[in-house]
Amino acid sequence: MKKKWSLTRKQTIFVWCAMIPCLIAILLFSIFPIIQTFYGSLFNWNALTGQMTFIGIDNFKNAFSDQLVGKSLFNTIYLTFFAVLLKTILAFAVALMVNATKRAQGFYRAIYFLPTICTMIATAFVFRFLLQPEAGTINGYLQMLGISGPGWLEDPVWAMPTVILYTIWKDFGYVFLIFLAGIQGISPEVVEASVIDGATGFQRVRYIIVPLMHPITIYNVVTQVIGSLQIFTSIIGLTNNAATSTAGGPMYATTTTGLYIYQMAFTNYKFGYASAIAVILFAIIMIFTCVQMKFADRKGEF
Amino acid sequence: MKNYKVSRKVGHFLNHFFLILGCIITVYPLVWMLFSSFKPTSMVMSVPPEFFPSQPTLENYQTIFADNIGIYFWNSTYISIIRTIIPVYTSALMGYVFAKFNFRGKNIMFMIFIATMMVPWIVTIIPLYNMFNVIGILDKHIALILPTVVSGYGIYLVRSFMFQVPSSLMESARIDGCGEFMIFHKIVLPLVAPAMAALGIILFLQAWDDYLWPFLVLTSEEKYTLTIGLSKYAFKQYTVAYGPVLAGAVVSILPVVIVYIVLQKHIVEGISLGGVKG
Repeated sequence: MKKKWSLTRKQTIFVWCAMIPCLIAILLFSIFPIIQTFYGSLFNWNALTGQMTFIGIDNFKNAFSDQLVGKSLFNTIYLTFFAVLLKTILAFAVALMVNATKRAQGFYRAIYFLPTICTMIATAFVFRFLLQPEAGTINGYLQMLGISGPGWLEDPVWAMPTVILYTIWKDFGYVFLIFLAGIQGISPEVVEASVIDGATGFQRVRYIIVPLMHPITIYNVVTQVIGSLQIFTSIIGLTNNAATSTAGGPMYATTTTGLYIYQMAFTNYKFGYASAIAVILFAIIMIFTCVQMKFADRKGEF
Repeated sequence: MKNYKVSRKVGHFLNHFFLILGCIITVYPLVWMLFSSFKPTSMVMSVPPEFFPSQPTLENYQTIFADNIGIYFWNSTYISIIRTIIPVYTSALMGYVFAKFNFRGKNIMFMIFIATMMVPWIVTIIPLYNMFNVIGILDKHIALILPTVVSGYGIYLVRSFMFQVPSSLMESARIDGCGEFMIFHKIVLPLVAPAMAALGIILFLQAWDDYLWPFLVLTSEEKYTLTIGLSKYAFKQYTVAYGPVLAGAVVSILPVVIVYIVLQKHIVEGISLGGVKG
């Protein structure tokens, strides 16, 4: 048992033959680009000419005084907070409800998961049409009930809540599925024991299921937060204005940081500035992830 | 006791009632899309709204098929298949290496591969675009394939299955004089085929749904994938042609829904495994 690296020569050759092409791929397409984004954020980097002039941390200084960066970060965090909170609570509750049914579990699972696999841009268009303020179907039904519907995506106040509504509809199934698999993985003896001890349904959820589901909840929250902070496609689908061919409106109400980075880089051709904002968002994503991981560790101990 | 039974029944009824209500909300936009794709554009937005198409027509589908959606469909299909096969293979290979061999630096290597799974697109997209521009492969389908040849998620998923493959199988094959690549292809791969299938479906759905990167790199119309073709079509008009866009949405969603219905078990398993084990 002493020799830890017990590979024969043939095996060593195999391992490296397998590894090297994959390693080259991630070096080229993941690691090198990350380094270049950090490096490029220190330059005035023109996308059209490819010219790079070193300007130190000026891009970051500009970013911190750019009102739209602030606005986009606010929008992104607003969206992430409410979307993740609502998705998690709703999906957990529905997972408990589905778990409590004896029949039709497969049916519910199949239906609730359906939006997750649907093409995102297509479903975003569908939502957009459904929520069209003047003649859209939803406002049409609301009108029949005597309610005058809001402007949804065309109203600066309602636009972001509407985006949140869409992302809940779209991602709910994934979060739900992970919760359901987790709840069904809880050993039945634990739950039975609590029933014998006279725990009510609520107590069972509060003191048995919720603590046991802690790691899975953290997993769900982390993946959803990371996804939400980078949101892009849904925003384009929901808000891109055909006339001006810009997304993120009205009045920048749905301009998220991911979208702003994209626009800075590929509409305004400011690669360096866009890289600097990307570095800032990347730092925020990392901080969120680390904090949540820490949280998972602390709670997981007892 | 009777009271308890009654309240239980009421509870069950309420439970199903809310779950079915949830199902209706979930499915409604998709059903609306399907029905409205058979309505003339003027009827998609009508006051008061109509649910079933009163004058069903195929004109929306005729419009989009006249507008090259067939080509986009074929592009999406073949690119998604390549973007499934290559990473499934590399995931199996790397999963095998990381599960069954001990070598110096293995843990660090594994961490590096897994970390690529969590890299946000925002920190890679600009240099990647720049790189592909310099080597002249923008607006080529290879630009969509190259960044996805290795999947950190896939390596992680297949590796956890590799632990179940008994090492004695490999040992006896070695004694019989079987080469390492032969062992991998002939003995190990068939044993992890279910995991590869689950991963393959997930990667296919991801590739099919991919938007941002193809939106950025593809500029000529005959190269568009379905998602890009659909959105460029929708953005082209000042007044959106609701009918054709909805027909295009149906064309982009229907194949994945069919795949989903046929392979539901595998998809659900693959996704739950990734989450619960992760």
